[in-house]
Amino acid sequence: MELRIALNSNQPPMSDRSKVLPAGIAPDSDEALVWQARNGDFSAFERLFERHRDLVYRYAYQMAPRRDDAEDIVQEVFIKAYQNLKRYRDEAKFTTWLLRITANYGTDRARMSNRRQNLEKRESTGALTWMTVGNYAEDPIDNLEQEQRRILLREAISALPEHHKNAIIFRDIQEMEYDDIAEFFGCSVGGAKLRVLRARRALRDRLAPMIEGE
Amino acid sequence: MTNEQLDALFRKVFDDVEIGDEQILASATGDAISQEQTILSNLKTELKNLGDVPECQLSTERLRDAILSRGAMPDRVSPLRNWWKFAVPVAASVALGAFLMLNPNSVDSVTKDPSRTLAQKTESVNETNLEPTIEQTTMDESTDEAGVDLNNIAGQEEVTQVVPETTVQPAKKQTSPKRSTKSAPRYAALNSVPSGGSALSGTVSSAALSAEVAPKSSVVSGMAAGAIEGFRNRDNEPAPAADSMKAKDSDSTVVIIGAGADPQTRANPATEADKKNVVFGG
Repeated sequence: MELRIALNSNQPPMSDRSKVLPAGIAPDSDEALVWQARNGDFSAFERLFERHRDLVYRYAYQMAPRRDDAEDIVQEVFIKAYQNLKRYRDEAKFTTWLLRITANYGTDRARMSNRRQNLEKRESTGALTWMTVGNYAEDPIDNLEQEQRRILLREAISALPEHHKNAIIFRDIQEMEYDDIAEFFGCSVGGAKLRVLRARRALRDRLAPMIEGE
Repeated sequence: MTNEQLDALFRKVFDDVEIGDEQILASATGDAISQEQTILSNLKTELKNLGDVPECQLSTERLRDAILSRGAMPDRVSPLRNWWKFAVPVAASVALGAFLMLNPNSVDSVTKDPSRTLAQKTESVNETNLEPTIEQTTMDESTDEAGVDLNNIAGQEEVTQVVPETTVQPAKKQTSPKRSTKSAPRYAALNSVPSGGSALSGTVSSAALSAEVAPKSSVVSGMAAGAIEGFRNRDNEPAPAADSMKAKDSDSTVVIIGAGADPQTRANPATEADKKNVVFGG
């Protein structure tokens, strides 16, 4: 009941307002907001959501290249984050923790809806997607070719192993720093660079038949 | 093109150049390098274009409604999360409980006080229908089961004076079937220790009635044998010294107890004599 009141009023529960932020945590940092959200302040969690919504959304969009699906993923990820807020450890960045949740949920979701997506793709093979997705050039033919390349590239990325796919998305699509990628993979910066290089070569090998055909 | 050159080319195109990559690429010759560089540059551009995504329209209100509709609550830390902190006390309690269940007598020996033990002993005597009880055989009792005045029996006072009076608690009338079986063996011990002496004095009183003649200055030893025989009949349990007493009875010896008390022992003097040489009578 107290939570419901806090959610509706955007105010922390009365019992938690008096709690003081621990020393060593910056007032407006992610850690401070997580601490406040853990103590029942839902408005702090909303601020976390507004701060990192786009990061999660862009990553989710690479796994499910539809806006509705990506938004559903974002919503589920933040619900899971809210439910498991107590399990978040301060050793890792909050964004890394969010991306891990997104990766796990996106993988599970992709497995479950793989058959449905294949059927939908077969039915609408490039029929109307160029009209609804992506940037548009003035020439419709160029626009269609560009969209076809985009689709092929997405399919090639989706066919990669999970760790290669994430490496490509984080570094070459979202242009994340190697430090954050290393934290996500739980390895050193050098290890992250090596993973990204292997992922690029794997993607290049997968695209080779199409490139040679052109 | 070697793998090393291809890796160096990847790093160069994707802006991850490392020390030595330029030398590796300088050693490579031919159009293959430039062609591959063009392909990788296009790939880099295409990948970067994939980052252009439509704007997220998921609102804060929608997330809030989703959380409210599902009743999602922040996960609370389970008290069982630190189960190992309670492991040692729980294990100790279980071990103690198992020990007590397997050895119930240990609890009795620990918790019982001496008076309670003595009371239970008297109960066990009572339960086996060993009459007269300790209470009935004290000096305060003036009559036995048959209602005969024991004080009027000749020589009985002397006998009972020898036996010191014990401070045994009164026997209770409550019976417990479990304790009767457990404490049954205690009867023999009770019979042989000082409390047995008082019991013997009581049996002597009944045995004296069975004797035809009871001279004032002596008591026939057969009386004791008769008393033990009475125990045997009532309890259906053989008395330890009964056989020896009976053997003595079969002999023709008589124990004569004198009237005066010995100043050293404060007991009446007793002498054995052949039965033939003793004249019974008042």
